[in-house]
Amino acid sequence: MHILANHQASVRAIMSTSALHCSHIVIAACASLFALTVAIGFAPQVAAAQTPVNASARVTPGAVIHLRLQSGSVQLSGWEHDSVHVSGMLAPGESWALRADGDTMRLRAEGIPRGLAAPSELVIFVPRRSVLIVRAAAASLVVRDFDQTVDVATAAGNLLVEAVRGTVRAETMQGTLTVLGPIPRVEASTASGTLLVSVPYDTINDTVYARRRESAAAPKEKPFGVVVLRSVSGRITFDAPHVDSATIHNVRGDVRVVTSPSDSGRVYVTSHTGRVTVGWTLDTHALIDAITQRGGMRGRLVAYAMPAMSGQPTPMSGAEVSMEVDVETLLVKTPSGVRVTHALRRLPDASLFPILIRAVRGDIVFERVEIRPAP
Amino acid sequence: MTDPFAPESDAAQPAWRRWIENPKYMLVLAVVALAAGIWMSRNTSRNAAARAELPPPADCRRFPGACAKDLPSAPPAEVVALHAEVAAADSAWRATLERERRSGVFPDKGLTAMRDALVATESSILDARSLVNDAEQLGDADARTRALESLTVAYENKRELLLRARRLLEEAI
Repeated sequence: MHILANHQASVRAIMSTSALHCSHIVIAACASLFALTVAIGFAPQVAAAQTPVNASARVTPGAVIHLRLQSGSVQLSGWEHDSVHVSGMLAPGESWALRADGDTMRLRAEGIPRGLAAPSELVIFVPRRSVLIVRAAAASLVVRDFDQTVDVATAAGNLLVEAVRGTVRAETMQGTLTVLGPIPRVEASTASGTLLVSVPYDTINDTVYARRRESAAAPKEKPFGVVVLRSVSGRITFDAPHVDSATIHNVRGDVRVVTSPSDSGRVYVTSHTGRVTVGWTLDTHALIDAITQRGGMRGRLVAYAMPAMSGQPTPMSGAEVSMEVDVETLLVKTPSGVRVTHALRRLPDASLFPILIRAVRGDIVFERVEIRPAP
Repeated sequence: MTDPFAPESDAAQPAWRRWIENPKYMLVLAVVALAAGIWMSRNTSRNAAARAELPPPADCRRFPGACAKDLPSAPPAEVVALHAEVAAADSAWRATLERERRSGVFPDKGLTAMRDALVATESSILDARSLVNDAEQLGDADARTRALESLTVAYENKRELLLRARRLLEEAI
């Protein structure tokens, strides 16, 4: 009898526990269903909360265009007309304002955008011959086809700048920054984002491709005049057949440089702990002077002379003879690190201009680069 | 014969069961849990705020010299002016950051990137200073010159970063 009573009590306990579990499951299922219904039900309304914008205004020829944005994605192009035109969708909570202010036309997205589901998506045309200044909090921007100075900065967002015939100043703290030339002067910087400056080469997964030209008969244009690139932890890639002056600073991000300084030009790269890769082609025309204080050096360089222990290479017999040598055979060890000074042309050649690499703890790597046709 | 489906008397139930089925106890428990939750979340927020205010720790893994114990407190004489310039830029950045906290327009991921970048640049300065110090102790003039060049570049990197970030922040506000 006592056993039966205990058994009954156990049965009751199990039944009540099961009922409790079942009720929890039912409640959880109902809550999930409710949340899903709310999400599905409200999603179109959130999307609908984006407001369309379609605005235009006349601009005095030569006026500065000053654009201020919050977030979202914006395509900004130059055109031939003396007017600005804005179209697309604005995020909920944002409004659009166009205002002439002396010689400056101010375009501004005002208000704080609400939610992430419906960001602003804008297409903006401004006069190609105007100076352009863009400031954004968290917008991703594509800027193309301008004749004058372009100064564009966003705190967090990706930037692509191309086909600009004037000076470019571009910066983002956290996004990816890409500048495609030819551009006479570029100053570009990131804090943690990747930075790619290239023309007429495209680098895809470390393979360098020659970009297609619109016309094969087009004159060979000068890719870059002056280039200044800075990052702290982002990877910097600079690919260009030649450059007048390039200054590249990184702190702990890697740097990859494939270029040749033009007549009287100079390429100066510094890195504290990041790896510096110098890519050279058979057309590279420079004297490389590389020092790393606590890092190592590896890779191969083309030699038109036999390396010697004294550090002074001996010209090889045979004018056309060249060979690739391990950089280990060229480096000189000093108390302040290891150094390689090496000419990427046959000696003696008085017209060599330097590629200076200075690393503290980072490695320096030399590699031959094959330029492949565009895929 | 006892009815197996008859409700159990309170006395037959275990003590814990009686306790959890008593609404008064459950109410007290809920109030205690709520108070504990509020207290813990406030504490966590305070810790996060305190961490944000603290000077960031150096990155000793990538910049081993940044944590050297024998580093002199003053920078080498050649870079004193640059050191002061960077200190001024840092102070101006902090003032701008304080104003930004009230506006809240700068995105968090931008601020996080900036905080990490400041740790890296400061660590590179300390690391380069340790190299200068090592060269001085060894009496190697060439190594000292090389380390001073690195130190100058490290200071310039931090100064440029602070100036850029401050300009961006001020224009965003």
